[in-house]
Amino acid sequence: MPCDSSPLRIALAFLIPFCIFPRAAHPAEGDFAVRASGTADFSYVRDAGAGDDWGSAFFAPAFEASWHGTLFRFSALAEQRTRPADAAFSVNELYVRVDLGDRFRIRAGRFPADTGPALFFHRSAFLGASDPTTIFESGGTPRTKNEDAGEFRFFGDAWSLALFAAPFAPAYALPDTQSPWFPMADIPLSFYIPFYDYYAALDSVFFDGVSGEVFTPDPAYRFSLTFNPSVADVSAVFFYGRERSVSLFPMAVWPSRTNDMNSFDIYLKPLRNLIAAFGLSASGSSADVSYWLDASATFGAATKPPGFAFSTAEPTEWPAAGSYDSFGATGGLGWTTLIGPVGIAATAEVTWSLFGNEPDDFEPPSLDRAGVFALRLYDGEERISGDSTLAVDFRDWSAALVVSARYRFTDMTALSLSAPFFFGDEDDSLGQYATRKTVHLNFTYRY
Amino acid sequence: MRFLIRAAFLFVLAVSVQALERDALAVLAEATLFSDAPAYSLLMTMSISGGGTVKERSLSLKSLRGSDTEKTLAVVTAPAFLNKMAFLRIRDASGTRQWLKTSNAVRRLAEGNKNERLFGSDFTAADFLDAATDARSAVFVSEDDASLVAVRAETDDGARLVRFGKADGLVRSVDYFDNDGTLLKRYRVTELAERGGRPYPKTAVMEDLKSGGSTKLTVTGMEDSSPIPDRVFNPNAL
Repeated sequence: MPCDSSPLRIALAFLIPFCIFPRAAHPAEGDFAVRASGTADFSYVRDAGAGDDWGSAFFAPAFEASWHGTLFRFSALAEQRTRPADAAFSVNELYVRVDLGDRFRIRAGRFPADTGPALFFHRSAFLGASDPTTIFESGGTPRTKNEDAGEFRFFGDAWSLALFAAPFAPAYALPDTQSPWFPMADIPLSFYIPFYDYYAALDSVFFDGVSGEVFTPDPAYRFSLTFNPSVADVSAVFFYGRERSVSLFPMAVWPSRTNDMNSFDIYLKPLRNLIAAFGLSASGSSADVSYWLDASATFGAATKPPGFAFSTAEPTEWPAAGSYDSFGATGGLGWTTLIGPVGIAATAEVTWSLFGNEPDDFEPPSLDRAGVFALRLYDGEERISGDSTLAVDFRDWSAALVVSARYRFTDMTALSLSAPFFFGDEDDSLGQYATRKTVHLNFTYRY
Repeated sequence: MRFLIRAAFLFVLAVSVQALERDALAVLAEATLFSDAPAYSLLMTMSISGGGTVKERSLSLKSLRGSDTEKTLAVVTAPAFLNKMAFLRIRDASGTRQWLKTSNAVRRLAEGNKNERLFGSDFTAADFLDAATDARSAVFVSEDDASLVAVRAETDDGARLVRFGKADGLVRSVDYFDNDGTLLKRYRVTELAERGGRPYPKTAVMEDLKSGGSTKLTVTGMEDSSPIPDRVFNPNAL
């Protein structure tokens, strides 16, 4: 549950478990054991495009206690930024997991849900909303929201069954309207008012109803069956509930707070579709190559209306939408090898969506046909590594390239330098960030 | 007549060599790096040296052996920031299946994968638990120590020279060669200990002669015959 917090509170959240449980010794199985771990991440960003610098500190402390087959885990995320100047604290994990007998496991609380075999474009997970723009800052995989849920698992010899129930509407994974990753290209800077025959200028952008949905009853269920035969790991999934990804209904409103008729605000209504969906995934490896396929069929997703609705008052009613069905598949290949002292890891992942029953003015979700291609070179000891990650939107052929270099001083400390580059027109999904010329210097400490 | 005798001699010789190869392969398959107990749990530390630094890892290893099944799970227990990493291997009549859990996900590893350094050590998924289970053929070679057996095994990636106890089947050393006969890696048990009449490696070293790095294993605790639930060896429980 996100909430504002002071830097002091963030620092305490990081330091307290570190001081009380500096290093857990290694207990025998069954003994009571506690562990504290975490990550501290300090970033300095030089924005050459805007001629501006900013910094951020990110802490992720974790505490874990186990005894026989019972595990309690707590972890938090705390972030302090200088631009926009804010601090945030959230509970990332808080759960109890109990192993029962030889075959059963239950877990309850807030924890990460299975995301399936895909690295970037999850299809059959249905849970755990992710913000794909987080890869532009880190060059890694998208950061995923954890779920408040209960889970029951049964383990067979080479298979397992999992039932997952999330009773509440989950938190949104949306970039803040002040974030440089907010898709401002989708927001008009001026709006034509036909009755008065003039253009009003954009004043502000607001999310509508984002903060009020935490712990609001809105159950979602997932049933999955996984087999682990000799060829590959195969999972079949059924999901019923609201999608974790969000469509935004934009509505332009004359701002009653200023009574300024020459400007307008944009209200964004996040909407999650109530869907029934089937998923199928498979992953395996052969020699140095790994492969994965992650597919889903979704029925009854609502469409957002094209363009912008307009109101003269703050919106209480939102336009009705149609519905559509969709089929999507993500396929990926990974290759890892050593050539002399140099390690090479190459990854390619492509996702593609098809739609049915869609209305004529249907706007497909962002990055529904896209690919990510990554190459990593590293020395045998993995002290020095270089990464390049290219993301391409096949709808408009805009692209993003993140290049980074990392030097690991010790097991616990590393320094990295990264820069994202964007290509395409200003109204393209990735090209809209082309004016951003940033370099990120990042120091990471793990304990 | 002389031709027939010569042919018969060559036939007997070929059959004998084949039988010896089968014997050597069968004996090699029984050799074990840690223990031949049907079920055991052990705690160990890895001290990984290379590039002027030393990294420490603590591991918990559990193994369950049936008539045609062998399941082994190694989990990193320290440092705490790596404590979700794990390596699971299941070997049964259908072959070998193995998975590596990293901080991000669980990945399936192909049998014989030699590119994946386990937990940053000088062991790989192909040599952490076995001496040469991927051997295509094997022959006995002479061994000065009467208590040991030496077998030279041929694999797709080169030969391996494995020395193990005649009575206990515990591996004492393995030399890993490439296809050109160059020595690449070397595993040595440097100290033996005993529990319940069974020996196990108290300390052992894996050296990577290409990189100059090495990993020292120290077994800090061992338990035989403790009940291990099947759930532990399910990849979906990682």
